[in-house]
Amino acid sequence: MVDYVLRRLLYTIPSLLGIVVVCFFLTRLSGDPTDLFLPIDASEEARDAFRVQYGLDKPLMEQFVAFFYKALQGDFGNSLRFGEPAISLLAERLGATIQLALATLFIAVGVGIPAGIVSAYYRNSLLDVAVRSLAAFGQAVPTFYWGVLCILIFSVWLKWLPTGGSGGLVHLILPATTLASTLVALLARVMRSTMLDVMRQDFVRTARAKGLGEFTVVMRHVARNAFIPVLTVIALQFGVLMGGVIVTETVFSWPGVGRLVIQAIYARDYPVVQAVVFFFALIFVLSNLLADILSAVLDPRVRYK
Amino acid sequence: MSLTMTSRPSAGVERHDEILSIKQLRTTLGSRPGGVTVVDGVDLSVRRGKTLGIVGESGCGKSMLSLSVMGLVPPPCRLEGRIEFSGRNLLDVSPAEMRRIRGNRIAMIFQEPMTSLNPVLTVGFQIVEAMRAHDRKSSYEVLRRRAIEALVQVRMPAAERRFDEYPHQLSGGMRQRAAIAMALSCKPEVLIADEPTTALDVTVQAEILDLLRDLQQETNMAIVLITHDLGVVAQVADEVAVMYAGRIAEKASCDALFADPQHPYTLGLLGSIPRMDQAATRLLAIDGVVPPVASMPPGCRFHPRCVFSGQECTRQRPELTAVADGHAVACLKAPIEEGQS
Amino acid sequence: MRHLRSPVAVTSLIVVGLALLATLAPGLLAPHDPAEQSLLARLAPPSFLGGPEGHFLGTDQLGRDILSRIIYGARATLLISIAAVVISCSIGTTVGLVAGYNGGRTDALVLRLIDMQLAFPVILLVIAVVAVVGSSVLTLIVVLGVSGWPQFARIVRAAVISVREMEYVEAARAIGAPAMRVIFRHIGPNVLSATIVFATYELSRMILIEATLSFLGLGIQPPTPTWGGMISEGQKYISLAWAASVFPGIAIASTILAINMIGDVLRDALDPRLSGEDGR
Repeated sequence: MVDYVLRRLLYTIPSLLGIVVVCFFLTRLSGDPTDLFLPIDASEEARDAFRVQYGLDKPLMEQFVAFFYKALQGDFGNSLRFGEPAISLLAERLGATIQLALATLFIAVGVGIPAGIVSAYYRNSLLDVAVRSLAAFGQAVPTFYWGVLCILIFSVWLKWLPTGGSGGLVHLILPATTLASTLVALLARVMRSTMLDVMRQDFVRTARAKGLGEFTVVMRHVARNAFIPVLTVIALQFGVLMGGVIVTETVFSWPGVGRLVIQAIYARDYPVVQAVVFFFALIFVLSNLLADILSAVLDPRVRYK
Repeated sequence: MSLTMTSRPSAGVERHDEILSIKQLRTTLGSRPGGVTVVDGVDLSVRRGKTLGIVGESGCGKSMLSLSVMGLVPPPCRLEGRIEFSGRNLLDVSPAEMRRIRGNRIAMIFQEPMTSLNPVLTVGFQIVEAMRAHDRKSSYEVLRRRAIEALVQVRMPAAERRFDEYPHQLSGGMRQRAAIAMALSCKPEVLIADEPTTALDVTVQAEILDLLRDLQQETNMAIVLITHDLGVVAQVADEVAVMYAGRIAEKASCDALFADPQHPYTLGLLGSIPRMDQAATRLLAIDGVVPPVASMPPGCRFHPRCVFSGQECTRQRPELTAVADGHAVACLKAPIEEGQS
Repeated sequence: MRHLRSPVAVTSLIVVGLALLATLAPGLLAPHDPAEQSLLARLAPPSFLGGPEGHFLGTDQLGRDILSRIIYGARATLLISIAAVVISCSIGTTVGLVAGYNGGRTDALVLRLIDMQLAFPVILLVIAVVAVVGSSVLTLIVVLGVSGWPQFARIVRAAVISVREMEYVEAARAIGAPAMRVIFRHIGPNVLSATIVFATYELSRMILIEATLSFLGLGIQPPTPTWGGMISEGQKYISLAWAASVFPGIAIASTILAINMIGDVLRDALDPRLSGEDGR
């Protein structure tokens, strides 16, 4: 087990390195970084001063090492707009995003997994066809469009919920539902197909032969086993979920990290963009790591290798 | 004729001992119009403390027969006939009642010990779970102790420790022992063993068969042993039924079947066993394969592969007829004399 | 080809056909110039719901015809997505063929590269690059195209490895056929079906990403109509007129759904082994 975790940790190193490389070259894509960080009418002296201050006059390799070192400490420089460290802007917005993400995950797992279980158990029934159609539909509709439709129906027409902003639980309902929509569809589909795989296994027949009730057979022997691979799928979807976070926060003016990065892009506030991109990629890598470790905890075949 | 059966008490004497008796069972898979009949009019019975061997090639319906008894044929399906167990027809009892019988009074072990245990639950948990399904009252501690006793009973090495281990940590033979312990944990009256030794290597196979026989003597349970291997049957069975394409081809006491096989198919199966005491020229191999269930030949289903078959075999379905006391065969050409063919 | 005759497949093909026609010749379909403003008829409801004649799906905040803008909006989305899939498919297939065929160190290197790129969520990469370089059709095509190759490489590599050891490939090598020709002539066709199926799903994913980018204002810039951009603008007026944001969304969703359905049909027809989804 410890071996496995350590080996898995080692595997994340190249990914982390890749993230730092991408973040570093991001600001050098357009040639001269001073174009990005300084106003267009900045004087040549100001540019030189900037280059010296941020080490841009040094060789590229040296710059990279310096960037790497700072990035690991969370130092991406100060926001061009607010003058504060980019990382503390990010930290300020983090709470709202985490709140949104947790609510989303809660809805997605709470709806998607049971839907997949029911759909697989009653396969080819009307219920199954309904779940599958809804899932296919849910995956085809872009997150932002869900958001707009939700606002139209629940805020504009029914006037039940606010169109955006943050506050109590009522503000969380629409954004979380929107963000969860694609994930629910995906989880239902994947859970259904892994359930069908597991249901064909011999040990399920053994469980029935023992005289267990259908509910116990399905939940304890099928769903539990089917959930392990689904966990990995959830983790892989974190990447897609992040795109969704950015979109959803924009649609509902949710004051989180996603909205921060879009505002930073509009304002050409590159240190903040870098910080958020780095942070999101880091979360993605870590969530995959976590999923692998979790499935090892749940699956003794991996645990005792 | 009944000379061949003197070594064992003849069938029919102890009627009340028949714990499980299958009458004209027909099992059809699939929905009504497109269904295929995988078990077609089977009559069988097994007595307490005795072992019934059911022999046949894969696809002959022997596994579906056992699942029919357990009420585990995958839906959609249709079961007709009677399965009498301690005075009741299992095809009539409610699903809840069937659940109480399943695993408790009729238990089953399967071919693949590798896959028939849930890989993510401990062996102990799976045994306790089987007992818990039929015993809501006993404490976990009591069940745990009984599970370990069951593991000891099946001669599991280091039983206490195995309780907390996962299936993949056990060898194939140990897994099958665990599966047997699980099946026996509720002290069933009938144990159905579907190819219990096929996936195991030869020495382990013999150990498991010995174990089953010893456990039978201790508990007086009836065993239905399903196998494709006549060698296994010869070792443990009291009665044997040979199945072909969903029907019983021949039914006899174990000794009678081996001494005086009557059905050409049985002859073929016996021919496939190399024997030390016979010249190689007497070996009878069966050509061809079992016909697919969806397109069964008319008449006797074995006739396309049968060396004895004649005109009538292609038209008339042979009924199971007694050729001797307790020895019945479904063949129009029976009894086949030595030297024919 | 019996799969292609199902009602779902026929409907899907019609939807995709219309989208392609709108991409190639929007003028044929559109009743109005998409840029033509009519300040008197702003935010009008669809004509079938009592709006002014001639604007079937109503008008937006500048009085432009929504139907015409949806038709013209297909171009940006489809051109970018198709080009991106072509690029990622070409890169991925080539890399996968070479890695799978050569094995050894090349293969190990490619695997590491794939892992590294997959560690980076596509949408994040695209947003980051567009933020710095700005968005033009070319940038979007290149960024989306480059971001999608690893999945193609993975599929092709796995397929190549599975057929590499088969006799006919060995035989071709034994008679001294050049390596590349052996790859393309003998392994290529086997890999083709899996790649086509995946490319179909990838196309719908690219459409989704492109729409998302233009919704965020990071895609093709106005005044060029884009589906995502129309929804974003429409959202501002949603309490006054829902048509401007609802109809472009239907266009996106039905295009993606149709492509996914075609993907399912292709999967069942070309490569039944992949259809584990329905778990026979």
